[in-house]
Amino acid sequence: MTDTSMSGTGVASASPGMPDRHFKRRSKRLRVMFPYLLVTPAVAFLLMITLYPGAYAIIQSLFYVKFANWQFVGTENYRDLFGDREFWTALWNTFVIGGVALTLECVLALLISFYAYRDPWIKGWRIIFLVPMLFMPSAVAFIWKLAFMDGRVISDLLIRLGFIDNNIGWTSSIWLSRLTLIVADVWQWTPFLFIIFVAALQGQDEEVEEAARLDGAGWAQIFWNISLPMMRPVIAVAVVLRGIDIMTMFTNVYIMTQGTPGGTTETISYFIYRIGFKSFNFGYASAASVVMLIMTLIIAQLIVKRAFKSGKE
Amino acid sequence: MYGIPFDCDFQMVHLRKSMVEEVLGGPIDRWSSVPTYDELIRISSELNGKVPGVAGVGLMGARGMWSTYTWEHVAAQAGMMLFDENWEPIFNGDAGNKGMDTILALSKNAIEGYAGAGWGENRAAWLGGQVATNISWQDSGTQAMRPDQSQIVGDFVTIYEPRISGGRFAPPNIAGSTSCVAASSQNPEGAFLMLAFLTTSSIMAMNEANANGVGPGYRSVLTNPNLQAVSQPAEVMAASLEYAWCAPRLPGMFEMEQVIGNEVNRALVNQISGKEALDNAAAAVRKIMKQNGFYGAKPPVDYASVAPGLWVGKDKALPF
Repeated sequence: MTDTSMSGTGVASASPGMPDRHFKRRSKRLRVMFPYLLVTPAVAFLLMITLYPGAYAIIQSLFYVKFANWQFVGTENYRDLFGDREFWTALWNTFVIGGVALTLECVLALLISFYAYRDPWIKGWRIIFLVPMLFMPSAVAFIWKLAFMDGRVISDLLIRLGFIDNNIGWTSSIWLSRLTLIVADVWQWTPFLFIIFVAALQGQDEEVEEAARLDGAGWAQIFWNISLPMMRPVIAVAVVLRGIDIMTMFTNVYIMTQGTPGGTTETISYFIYRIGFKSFNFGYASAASVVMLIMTLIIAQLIVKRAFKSGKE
Repeated sequence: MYGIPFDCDFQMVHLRKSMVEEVLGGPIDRWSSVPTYDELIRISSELNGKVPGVAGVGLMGARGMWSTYTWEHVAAQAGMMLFDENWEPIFNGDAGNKGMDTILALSKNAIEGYAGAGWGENRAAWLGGQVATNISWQDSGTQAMRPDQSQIVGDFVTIYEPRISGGRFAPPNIAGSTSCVAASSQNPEGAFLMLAFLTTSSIMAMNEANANGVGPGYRSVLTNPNLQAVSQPAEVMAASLEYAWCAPRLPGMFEMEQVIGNEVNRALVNQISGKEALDNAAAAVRKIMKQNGFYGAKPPVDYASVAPGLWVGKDKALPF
């Protein structure tokens, strides 16, 4: 009987009934190398689209680059960056806008998912909750731009309800302008967290909840003392995924505010775009990209490490 | 690099005819009804909110080039020049600050969201009838005449540039578009020909002559009655060209327009004073100029060669 199990090299042998002559003829070195050869094209492709641009950006960040003109400046771009008020403002804006949006998204998604996860209607129709996510981000940004700004929809609504007398200058106020970005982001991406949280809750053992209920625990106690701690690793992953996405928030800023008023809604991604593609200072933009990448990695690592450690404990 | 200009943008002042005539108490004279920016500030103040949903003035105050153009437009009337003969930035002097004071005063009567308004937002507000006066490009006049785009057809007037006390008549010709092709192309001659006879011609035909039987690409187009029939600003633009104020097209100029506009925008939203904005901008512009080879033994552009084009109205008799 032909052996169809995995060989010592991790490669399956020939089909039943056929002598494994080809495989046996291969040298030991080839047998060892064969799996690596199989994955080489995929790895090369991945390296090409990730490592190469990354290395290119790092190299470019050491130059003053204006199209074909490259002048080596060493770490000058980084020194300028750390003394650049606009860079720090953009970083702060990213944390403020992203932090508020992410917190709201998490809270809303948790609340809605906890209310809904045992509901059979939700189980059957959860796709409806995903609809905002299915729109193109640029389309969502335009919808909210029209609602807040050009189309005066929100202002008109508030005037008709008697809350205000005049149209609101959304882009003239720092917090109102930030609010428009936060609302657009929360509207589109809360469903993403919702669907993850619902899946996590539905995966939890119903008997644990039942036992707690029999012991007299109420809704809030079950939520805080049982469901939430059990969901912590899932929440951490969801927050990291959304956090990385928010760190790179660009579309809404580009379409809705372009950093107005006075740069207080300019996120780090928009800052990099502006320096790179409006000022054509590619070396400086690359330096900012490298710094942003390092910060994102550190923050993501901290969140994941902390969340998973706590989960084990 | 080969480049062919295909679009030339004049900043102009447009008025809603019915509203402004009501304030002025009579018909609008394009030369003299709004002779100064002080008068525009007064009119826009009076009209601001008079009709629900209609603001006194529209202006492009978004970050970047939009704020720069708006400020340059007004500051040029106060006598502002961007550089001296050594390419040192001088726009943060008295004339530049006068221009800044003027747009800050206008902004008090401006439509909500003006601080985030570029061409698209300003266009939407103007054509949608949300502003009583507007500082914008010449195409805001052309488009306002088109029933398929505009809700104010027949109810607007494009006027000649208002002045500033102690200033000059310097209508600003400060933006435009150029199609370019790199000389390092595999076939630069072929690419140039394509640019000249295909791309540029078609864009010109669309933008300026607008398929009305007017040949594209010549200044005389502006005085062509066929174009004037569909573009009210054409006549104003034709006369204004004789007195135009222009920003020099220098290496790094686009980047400079960005940094100036970012600072002007900060002033418009009261983060810093107008003077601080221009001082910050001057320092940033100097740095960009230096990066682009100015202040050395051989600057990339000779000031004397571009000086005559910076304000072509110099020493000319006023047209009014």
